[in-house]
Amino acid sequence: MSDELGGTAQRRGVIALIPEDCTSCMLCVRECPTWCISLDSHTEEVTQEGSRRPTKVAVLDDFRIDYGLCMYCGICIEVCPFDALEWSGDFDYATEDRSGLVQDATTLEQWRQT
Amino acid sequence: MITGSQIIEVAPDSWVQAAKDQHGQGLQALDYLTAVDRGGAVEVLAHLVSPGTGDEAMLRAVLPADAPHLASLVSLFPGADWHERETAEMFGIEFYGRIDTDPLLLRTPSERPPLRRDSPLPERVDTPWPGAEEKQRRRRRLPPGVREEWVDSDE
Repeated sequence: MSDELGGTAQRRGVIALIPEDCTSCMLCVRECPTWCISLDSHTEEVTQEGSRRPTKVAVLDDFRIDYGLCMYCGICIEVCPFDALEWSGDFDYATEDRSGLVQDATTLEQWRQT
Repeated sequence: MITGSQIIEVAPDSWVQAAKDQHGQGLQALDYLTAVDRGGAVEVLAHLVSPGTGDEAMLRAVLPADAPHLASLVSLFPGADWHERETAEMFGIEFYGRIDTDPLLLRTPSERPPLRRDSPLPERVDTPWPGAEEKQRRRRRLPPGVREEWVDSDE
C-alpha cells in the first residue's frame, strides 16, 4: 500500500517485528527513550537432541508498540542483537482512539518487509 | 560539521575574549548556545559561523556544577539573548552582564534546573517502567535516568 502512494526507499514508516527472531531479551524495552515498547514472555524447557539436560528458552507471548508514544528514533532497531525489528514502509495506521495506536505482535508482524 | 577535535576549549574567564577573537576572524553569527551537564561539571557550548563562507567554530567552557556562572555574550552577539535565558533556567547557570534575566520558557523559575542530572523526574518515577521485569530479578531495576533516592523519598 505504501508503494501505490509513491514512497521512497529512505522513508521511515512504522517499526515491524519479526517474531521468530525475537529472544525476549528486553533490550529494546529498556533502551526505548519513550517507554513505548512492552513485551510478555515465558520460559519453556526444551530438550535438544544429544544434550543431557533440557535448556530454558524464552518464548515471546506478545509484543506491543504504543505508536502514541513512539518518536520513531529507531534505537530499538539498532539495539536489537537479532535484527528482530525493522523499518517498514507502512504508515496508514490512524485510528479514532488513542488506545488503537497500541499495536500488538500480530499487526507488527504484518508490517514486516522480509 | 564540528568534530571533537575542532572544539576550542575556553577558560571561563576568557569566554567573552575568545568569542571576540572569533568574531574578529569573520565568525559574526551565533548559531546556538547551550549547555551539557556532564555530572560534576557543566559545559557551555557556543557555535559560531561565518555567514559568507560557512566557516564555523565551537567554543566550550567547562564550569563547576556547583553555582556555575559565565559572562554574557549579548553585547557581542545580540542573538545570544534567548539562548542564554534558556540555558540559565534549564541548567542553573548565571550569565552575568545581562539586563533581561526573566525566565524564557518556565512560568516560574524552578528550584532545581530541569535539565540538570540531579533534578528528579517525577513522571519517570510514577510511570511503571516496561523494562522492570520484576518476576525474574531479585534486585529492583530502575529505568535509566531515575535515581534510587528519588524513588525512596517518594515512598
